[in-house]
Amino acid sequence: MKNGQNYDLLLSALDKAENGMLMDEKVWDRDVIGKTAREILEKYDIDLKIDSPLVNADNGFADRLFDAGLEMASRSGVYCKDTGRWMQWTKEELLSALNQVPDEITLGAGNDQVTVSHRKPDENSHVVIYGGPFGIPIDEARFVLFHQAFACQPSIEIFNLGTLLTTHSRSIRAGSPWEAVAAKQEQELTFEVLQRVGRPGMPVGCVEIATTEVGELAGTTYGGYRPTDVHKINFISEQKTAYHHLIAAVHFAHVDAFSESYFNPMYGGYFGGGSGVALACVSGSIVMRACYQGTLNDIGPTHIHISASTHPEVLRALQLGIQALARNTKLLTSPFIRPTTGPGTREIFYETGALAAASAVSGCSYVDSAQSAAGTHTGGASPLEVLFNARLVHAVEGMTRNDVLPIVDWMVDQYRDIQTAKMIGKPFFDLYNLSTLEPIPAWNQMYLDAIEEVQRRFGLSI
Amino acid sequence: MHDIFLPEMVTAADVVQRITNEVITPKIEETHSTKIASAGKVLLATVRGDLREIGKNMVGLMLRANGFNVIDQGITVSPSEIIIQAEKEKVDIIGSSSLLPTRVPYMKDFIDYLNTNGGRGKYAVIIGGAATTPEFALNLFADGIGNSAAEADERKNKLTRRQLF
Repeated sequence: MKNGQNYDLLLSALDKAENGMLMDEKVWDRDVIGKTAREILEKYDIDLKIDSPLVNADNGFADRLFDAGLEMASRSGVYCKDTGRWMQWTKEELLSALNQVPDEITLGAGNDQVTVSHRKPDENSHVVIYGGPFGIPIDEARFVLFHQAFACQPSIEIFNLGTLLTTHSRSIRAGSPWEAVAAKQEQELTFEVLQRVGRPGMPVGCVEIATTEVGELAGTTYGGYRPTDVHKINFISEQKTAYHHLIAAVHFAHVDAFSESYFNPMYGGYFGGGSGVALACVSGSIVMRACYQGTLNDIGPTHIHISASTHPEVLRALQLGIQALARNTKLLTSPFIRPTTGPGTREIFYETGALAAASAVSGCSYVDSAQSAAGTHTGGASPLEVLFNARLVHAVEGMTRNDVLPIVDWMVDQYRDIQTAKMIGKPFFDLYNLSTLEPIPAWNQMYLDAIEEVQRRFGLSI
Repeated sequence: MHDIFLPEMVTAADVVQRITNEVITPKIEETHSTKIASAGKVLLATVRGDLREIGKNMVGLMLRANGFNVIDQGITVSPSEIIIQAEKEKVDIIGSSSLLPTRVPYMKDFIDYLNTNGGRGKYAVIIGGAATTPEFALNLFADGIGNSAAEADERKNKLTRRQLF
């Protein structure tokens, strides 16, 4: 089995979903998560103040957060919504699950293979770019063209997709046969994209349309998405699972597929503010590994009002979480970059770049870029923001957290006051020449200006 | 300064609810013949199959804090179940939410169900969640849309007057 999966551990997780203690979900939210988190934050003195550096460089703090997260994970576990039961693991079980994670995996096939490796903070090693229009709604007619513009970029090593709006002109209804139809259509269109750009073996994040196990099973099957692609499973906030996620985990193990676990702890939610989110990043990653046996580990904390992972408080918490995991586990971790701004704005480069750069020096193994304008507008993404992030990330590989802090500080200052302004920008189709799939001059110039500014201000070879 | 987040808000709301139900309301009704008027009665639910409810819960908290009587029907509720409960509780407003685009057709089901059964005029209907947009809300003939609990607070006074667009 891939991912260092242990089938017995997976079966054990399923047992816990069936036999764990029955619990009211509201009690879980308030007490198991809320009260326990507050207690642990105090016990370990995890206090991310508003004037703390946006990128932590105190290894002791990161290690203390890991210890706090491990205790939180062992005391909180996971809640299964379908059975109403509390799934718990001992510290020893959690550490065993973490120890079985491979520190390097190779995704994709042939000339398009890519290796994702464990990294530590300040390490001079390659950060993989997992790029694309993450979940951006797109119509059937323009799906291939839209994605072709991303897939042809050499900087993008693992490819993620937008979300089909309809399938064969019908609404896509979660859990219905239409989800199965849409999953197959998405896979066929995606493989057409890969053929067109000459990258048939490029690993693809899938199944993007899947809301339930219906889509996962329909998409990852004979002639469908491949074991070498990146198959996704997530938690529901906070640290909750459901049958359809567990079914997906079992299916991925059975078809020997790589999988990416992801979750979105909420800033302002049951874990609280910045300190709580940092704790959630660690705790959630640990229990997610035990629950789903995934290898790739994607964390996308979200601000409860603006739905972005780039809010300064969220960014600060996520960096600390990534550092805690990078220093104390072999998990291959990524930030999920979800800005409030959209393509066609200057600010999107800095809003995505700040998080990308901070994560690279904090020890992430790869970067998910980007779900522009929080992913809610049709065609609302472009390759240029991904390319900017790729160039920036590769430029800061090998720099220290203290070196990169002024860059992150400056970038955050470019967007911190406009995050509620809903600067969604323009859709891809207004920013690109659809014959050449090149950006229009105005948009390209904005991109070049952003690069030039970073080079001039910070002497970066970007 | 110590910040307050969702766990503290939930606890505070529970305490306020208990004080209101067990102390204030009985006392006032003891001395007055009329019941306390609320800002309106709201039924909240996530659509069928949608397990995510933090946003709905926060909207419920905001509305309660502003004097609305909120009935939370929970998650993954079918259209008929929503309507039955709305009738039973005689609500003024029905709110449904969905995080993901593939759940949104179930929202349309619920409004179609209301239209078919002649109940549409009885209730103000609001929708919310990351998957919804103002255009979608207008196409559904919903009365309003919100994408965060903060918007629920901003627009609360317009809810019962159906003046959200």
